[in-house]
Amino acid sequence: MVPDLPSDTETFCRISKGEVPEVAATWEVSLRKKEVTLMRIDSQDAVLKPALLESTAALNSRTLGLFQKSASRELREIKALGTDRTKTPQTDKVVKECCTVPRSTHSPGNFAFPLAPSSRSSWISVPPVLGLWKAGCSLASLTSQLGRSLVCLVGEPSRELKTTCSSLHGAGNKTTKPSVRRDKPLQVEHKTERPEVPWSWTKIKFWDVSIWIKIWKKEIERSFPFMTAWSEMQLEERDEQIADLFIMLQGNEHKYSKPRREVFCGEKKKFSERQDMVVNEEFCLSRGRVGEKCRGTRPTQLAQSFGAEVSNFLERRGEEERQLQANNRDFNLQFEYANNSIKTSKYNFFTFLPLNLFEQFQRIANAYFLFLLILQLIPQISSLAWFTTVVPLVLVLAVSGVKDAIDDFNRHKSDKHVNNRPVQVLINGMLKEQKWMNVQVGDIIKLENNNFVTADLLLLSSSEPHSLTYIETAELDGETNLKVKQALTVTAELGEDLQKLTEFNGEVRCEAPNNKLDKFTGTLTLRGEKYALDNEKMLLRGCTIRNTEWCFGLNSGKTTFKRTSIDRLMNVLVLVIFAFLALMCLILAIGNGIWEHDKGYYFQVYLPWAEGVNSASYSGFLMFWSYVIILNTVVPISLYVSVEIIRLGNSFYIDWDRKMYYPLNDTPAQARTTTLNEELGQIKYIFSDKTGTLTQNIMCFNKCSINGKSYGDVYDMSGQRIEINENTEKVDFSYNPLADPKFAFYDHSLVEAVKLNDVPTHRFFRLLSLCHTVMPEEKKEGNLVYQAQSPDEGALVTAARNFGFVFRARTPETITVVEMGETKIYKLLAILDFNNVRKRMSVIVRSPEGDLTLYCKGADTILYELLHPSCNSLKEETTEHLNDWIRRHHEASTALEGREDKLSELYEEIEKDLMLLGATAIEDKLQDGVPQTIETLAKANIKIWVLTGDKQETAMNIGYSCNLLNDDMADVFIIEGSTSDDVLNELRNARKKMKPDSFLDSDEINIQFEKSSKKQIIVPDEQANGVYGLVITGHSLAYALEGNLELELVRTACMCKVVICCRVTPLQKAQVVELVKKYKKAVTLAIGDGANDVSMIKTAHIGVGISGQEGMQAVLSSDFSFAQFRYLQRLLLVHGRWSYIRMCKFLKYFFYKNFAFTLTVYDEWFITLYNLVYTSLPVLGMSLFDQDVDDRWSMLFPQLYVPGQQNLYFNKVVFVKCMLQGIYSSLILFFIPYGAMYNTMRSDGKAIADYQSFALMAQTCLLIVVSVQIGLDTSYWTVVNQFFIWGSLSVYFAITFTMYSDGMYLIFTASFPFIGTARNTLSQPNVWLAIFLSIALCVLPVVGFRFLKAQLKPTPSDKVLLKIKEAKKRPPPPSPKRRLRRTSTRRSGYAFSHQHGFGALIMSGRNMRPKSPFATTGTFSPNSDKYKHKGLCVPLLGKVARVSWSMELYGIPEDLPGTRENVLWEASLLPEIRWPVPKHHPPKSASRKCCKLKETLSWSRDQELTLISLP
Amino acid sequence: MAEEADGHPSGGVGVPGGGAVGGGGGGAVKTRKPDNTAFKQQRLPAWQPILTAGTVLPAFFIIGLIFIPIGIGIFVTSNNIREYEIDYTGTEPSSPCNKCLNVSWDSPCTCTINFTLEHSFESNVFMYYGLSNFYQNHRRYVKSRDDSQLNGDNSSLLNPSKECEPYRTNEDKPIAPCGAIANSMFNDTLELFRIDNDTRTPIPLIKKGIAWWTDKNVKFRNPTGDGNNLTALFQGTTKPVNWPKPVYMLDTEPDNNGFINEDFIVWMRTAALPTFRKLYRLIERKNNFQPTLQAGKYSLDIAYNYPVHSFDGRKRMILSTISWMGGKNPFLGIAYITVGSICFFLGVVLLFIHHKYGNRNTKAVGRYYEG
Repeated sequence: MVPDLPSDTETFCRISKGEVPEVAATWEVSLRKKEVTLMRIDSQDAVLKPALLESTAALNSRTLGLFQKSASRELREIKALGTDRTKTPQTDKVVKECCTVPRSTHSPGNFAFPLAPSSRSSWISVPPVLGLWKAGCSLASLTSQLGRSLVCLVGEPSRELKTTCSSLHGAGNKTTKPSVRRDKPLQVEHKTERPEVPWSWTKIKFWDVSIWIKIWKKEIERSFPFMTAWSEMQLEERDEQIADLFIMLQGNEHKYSKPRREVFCGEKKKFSERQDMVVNEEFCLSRGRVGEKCRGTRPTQLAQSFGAEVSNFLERRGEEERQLQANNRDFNLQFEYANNSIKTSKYNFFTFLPLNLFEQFQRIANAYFLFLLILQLIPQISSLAWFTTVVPLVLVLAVSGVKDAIDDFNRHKSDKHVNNRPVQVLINGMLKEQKWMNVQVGDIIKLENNNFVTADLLLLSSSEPHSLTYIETAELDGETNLKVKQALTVTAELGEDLQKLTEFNGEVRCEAPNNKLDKFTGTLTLRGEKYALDNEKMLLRGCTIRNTEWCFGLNSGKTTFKRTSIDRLMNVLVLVIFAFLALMCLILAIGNGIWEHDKGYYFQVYLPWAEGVNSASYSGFLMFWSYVIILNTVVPISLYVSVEIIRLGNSFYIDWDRKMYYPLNDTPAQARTTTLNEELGQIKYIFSDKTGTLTQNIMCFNKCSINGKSYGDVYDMSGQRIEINENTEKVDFSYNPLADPKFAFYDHSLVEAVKLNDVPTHRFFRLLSLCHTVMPEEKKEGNLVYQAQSPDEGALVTAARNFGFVFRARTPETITVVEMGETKIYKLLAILDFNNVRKRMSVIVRSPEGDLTLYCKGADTILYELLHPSCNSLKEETTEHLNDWIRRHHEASTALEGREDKLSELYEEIEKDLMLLGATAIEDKLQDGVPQTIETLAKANIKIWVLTGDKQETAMNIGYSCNLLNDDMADVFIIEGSTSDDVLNELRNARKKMKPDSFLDSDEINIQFEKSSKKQIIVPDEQANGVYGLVITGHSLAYALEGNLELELVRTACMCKVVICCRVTPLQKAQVVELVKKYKKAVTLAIGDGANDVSMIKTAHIGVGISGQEGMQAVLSSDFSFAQFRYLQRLLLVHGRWSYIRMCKFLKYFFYKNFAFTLTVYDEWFITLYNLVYTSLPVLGMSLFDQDVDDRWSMLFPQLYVPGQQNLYFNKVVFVKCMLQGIYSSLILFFIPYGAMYNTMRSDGKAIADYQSFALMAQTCLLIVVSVQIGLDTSYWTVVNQFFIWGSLSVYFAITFTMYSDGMYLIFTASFPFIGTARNTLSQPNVWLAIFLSIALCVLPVVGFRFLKAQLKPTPSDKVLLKIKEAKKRPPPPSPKRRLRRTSTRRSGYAFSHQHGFGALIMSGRNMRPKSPFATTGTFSPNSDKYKHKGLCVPLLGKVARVSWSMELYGIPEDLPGTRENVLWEASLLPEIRWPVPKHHPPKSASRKCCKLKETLSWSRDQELTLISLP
Repeated sequence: MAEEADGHPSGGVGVPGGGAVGGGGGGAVKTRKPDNTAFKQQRLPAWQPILTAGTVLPAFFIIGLIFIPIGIGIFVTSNNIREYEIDYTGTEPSSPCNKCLNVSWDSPCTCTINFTLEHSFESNVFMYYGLSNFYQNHRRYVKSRDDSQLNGDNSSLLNPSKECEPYRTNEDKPIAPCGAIANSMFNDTLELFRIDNDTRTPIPLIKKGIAWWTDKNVKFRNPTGDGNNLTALFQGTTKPVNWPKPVYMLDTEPDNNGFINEDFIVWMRTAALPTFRKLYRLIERKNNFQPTLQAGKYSLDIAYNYPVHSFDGRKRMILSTISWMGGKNPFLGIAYITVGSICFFLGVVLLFIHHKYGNRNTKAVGRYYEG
């Protein structure tokens, strides 16, 4: 039992002194629960009361939320609260007493701080204050300046507080012992005189870092005056961070080891550079490592993002604060705020050419060619004709330029589309249609239902009562439920009165545009009064709004360009090639030098040295550059262009794929980034969001169990269950004019039961129609729309509605329900709202007949414990109980302090001994094919991590239902520690279990860790001794992501097959992705649908957005988008794999052909055209059409995906092989013609060994060899490939003969000196003999090698290919049969809504219309006056347990051995649904009662149901 | 999986119904469903070859079996060619041409070398001069010419290309033909005598028809102008530095003079290798009853004008007959035989390997398939 809260100051002080241990104990419990050290004050003291009331009221209404927020982030914050009515000396006295009392062991210390300001919203968090203390101003002067004193101390001191305290003492005692001296309490002096303010603080922004620096450097002795400024501004998170920073700086840095400090100092440099400040050596910033040492248990999530935050906001300092006035464009214009148009395009008409060229020449290869061009202008060096460089360069630049131009044009178009959307703007008292881009800061605009919000807006008023506005933030955070925003009362009065709105001249000061979705700070000044603005008043979708600032998209920043690993490799390779080129040139130059020295010197008789050349070495030097030009073809200029083209082509395939087109919302897949395709074939980790990605986020009322009877399945005549599909007959709800036509239910027996007035059934649906917080909307009579906070609640109410219990309207006191056509008005006595801990909600209603009933619904695990074993003897007892309870509830709910907790306790009290009415099965339908997709991806060795904001249970449920987790797993580890050490232990234990060896010193990875520095560790893959799963909560994740646990986490998590992170924030999602990117050399993919996934989508190598739903944020920042999760497997296993294989083949071939080409001598024209004309199309053809196996086989053998992950097809080794092969070919291509021509002659006796014939012979050989080679590489010969290859060859001959013809020579004598060579040479039989010989020598070793490799060391894919080849001889495999398998594990959940309910709002009536138009009168309310009638009070305590129920489809390829049995076995289980209790997670108080009820609840037909009947 | 619903694989254009449902908006429902073409769906009909034992092994054997006979054929043909070579550089003191070793351009020197042909040359005989260590393939050397000038372009004649430097002008007069190639033209004169009982019978050497037809008729042309007087046409130019006489005095016959002198054309077709031979003269077979060159003694008279000793060059005279595949060159034949044999051998090795390890793979596939 909870003792009464203290009613006077003395008690209160006694409690805080620890003199009333039992009270303190309970307090501590409740406090610990929330992890907030929050002081509750209750006092009857005449002096203290008003102040305390004030503060607690404020506390309850506003701060609690704040506290909870901080609790969730586990900031042990100490809030100072202030009120100006505590000024009386008595207060001070009391306060002083309290504070000077030594703290007891029960409640040692935190602080609450009453501050002076007049504003009610004077909340100050202490960390800044601490910062001040540290900064040298004493607590005494601080408090005296504030004119107030410390109030009370509760809870445990956090470690940083200890240090603070110690340093406080240290100021006097010169002791720095980091512990609180318990025996010596804080002494608070009182000085009433105000110290002088050194300068005017009014202009200083409290987030101005330089001030902090000054404070920290003790330049400012008395920094408190601006405390008042803070109190007005309402401190924001980041300011606390700054303050924290300084605490860290000042107090703790000596604790760091040297190396670490160096790291920090790097950060410091950044910091100081930006600030242009002199910062001494000790000034070190950290990026999160600080947390573990100096902050004790404090989570460092904050600190981790801290570095980024600091720099972010330093960047933002340019515009620190916004000031604007409504309806005053002139005023606002002077600030030159950005306008509302968006611009994502890069170029305009004039800047295109210079900018684009500039960008293009940033590419190494392009710049190189430019350099070559310059080299060629030097006559001594110039070795080739100008066109050999210019033609390819111009072509390449042109192609890229055109592509860029088209891209930018499209961006211009989409920008224009968005900018030109219409919106109604209030101009001069009239609403005018304006384009979005013309909306300016300070405009008042009107939005209508379903409009997109034009800009970030401050809500002024709305058509709804109390200026409430419901908004959907799906675009921003992915949550599809509605959120309520409320305007300020002063502005709400404006209503729709245009006149008033025009006259409205409020002035707004607020923070500058930023990317925080959930924070907003500002003030509105209206007629001299200031009003605080917070996020509640900002909106994203509403009605009549005033524009405050900035532009439409919050995330329209510059997109970071992602590069694929092959891209990076390619750059490395190009550099390698450069080095190779330089080396070759060097060798050749030296060779030339030697030659010139030995031979050339003497040969000057016939070939004098060039002008200015006087020594062999100089000649060698010149020759070096000449060779750079000659060998330029080694550096593949067309490489980038070709790669772009291939990627573009493969992206188009994705766009075109019909199998990734979702007909229901007409959404084809889309490759938004065309440069990442091949990376799709290398994915090793998938990070998936849950809601909307794995599930549809559409809740369906699927089944229910009422009075022991199960409804929902359909059976045929013989009692066999029928599969529900499109054709199954739906239940006809036409008897109910208010039914929702979209609702589908198939079991007719339930309707029969309802129609037959089956009492339990009626009661069941009555519950559903009464016990909820849904808001109805009936714009048109009979056309009800429910606005539910969570979709599952909506589903339940809709179900009740269709079965004839229509929830029609509600007022704060009543609920109107049309029960089977009869309108009943229930008096709503109380709503016992939902929250995360309770996991249930109840309503207490009085029926028109006068029955008083509590209806409760909630998670089954919770409700089992609340059920009464028998209900027969319950009546009297409960009635009394209830009456009593209601009285106390009233008291409690009117209590001002601690209401939440009181209520909770009271709720607990009444919500017990319930009777079971039934259970519902709500299905948050998994998207089609999710389990199979996951299974397939798992087979492809892709690890799937689910990162969800949902709570653990939900996440695990989904994990089970989509086959991520299953009962065959050896274990599922749950990491939920709340301290760093706990988490570490849990992680280690998990790893110990999975792989005990990994703790041995001899373990390779440990050895590696020893050796390498911590920064660049790449954790290799480790094999666990079984299949494991890992579930980690966001809470623990925060610790696990800290510096020293990162590695632990990575090692443990990566050993598991599945990792589920629940309750993670968007930032954590990104951190997890970053973590894997950092420690694993693996390609990651993030998939999600909402704005909360944006960060991870952007972080991962590849981001995939689920499109087609409302939210576009994820899609906009994604690289690929499609409508359904299941398309992922096609994207990866088919498109990704093909793209990867194609790209690898392309690169291999490309490098090969260039190396083969470069090392021999040719005609200049051949050099020019080789890459661009002769060989480009065949290789493009291959890279666009090649497929080793077709899509069905790709999906059937996910193992084929594995080589891509390991990057087997193209890496440095492969590159070296290509190079060697190229060099080999090159040598063949030189020496075979050499041998064939040496000292011999043509068949007409003329000399053959002239340079031109030789070149022609070599180049013909080369071209045929590379054509044959591509033939070997191509595994999918389409007509196009054939055409390209033969076409290229014929083009070669055609061009050759043309260029070497008489005509060309006579026209361009200088350019085509090879006249006649083709005719004369190619007619020679020995030329052809040499060509054939070269081909044989080039190709046969490759064939032999490949064959041998396939024979001796076949890769898995080789085997599969062979198998497929064999299988193809048989008739093609039937497309995999899809079978049904049901794993209906009972994974409980009142799971889906994880927020506070609307309860309080409903009860307060704030959101009610004054009068509901149809509720109390009309045809459907014949009994509308019945509620006046007072009948007998028959208490009925009912409950509905809700059980999540899931059903999956399983696709099993028919011809896979071993699976058929599985299917049959599963099928045999179908009539019954298993309810295995999860091994790892036994229900908390599994009493016998529970078990019995669980049996009852299972939908087994045969079992006798032992349900409690009604009295 | 619901892919079946997506319209594949029954072919034909999918029922647009699905799209219509989603479009919802009524009116002109323009579905965004991608077209069902083989190209866009990547279902182009194709042939998928795979390297299997069934294709690779026969390929090796067949190539081996084809190459070996070809190689033998070529080798035999090549061996049947008569070829005789004399090095007349004169580096050895015993050589009659030793006296001319340090010859300079302006002091001609003649020497005579006697030799004996062991076998008679039955068909047409081609007479070559061969140079070794002569870097006609040097990059700067190759470029050092002006094709326009050689093609008879009048402006280039008087203003040769810069590529010709330093043999572009001499004493402010443009050189015709300009450039290092032309300047270094081989100018030894070789004459062949048959010594029959101490009587020297000159063997007629034909100097026309030794250049490519395209070179003679298209690539090289004399400058055009009034009349056919070459001297007049080359007015204003000077001879190459090393030449004893200008280009229009290379020969007496007008159709073999100037730029279209065949010796000149042959020289201008630069060799690819530092050791090369160029066709010098033809010796035609007179009648079918007598070999072109009978076995016996011959003497070669050399007007030794061309200095090569300074850079260790060698000069040779070669007499050779030809076959259908050109001159004597055992390389191709041997290469073909070698490659063919290796192929055959590899085929056997691969067959063995396949036999030994091939079965293992199919088993492995089976295992894999289950996994």
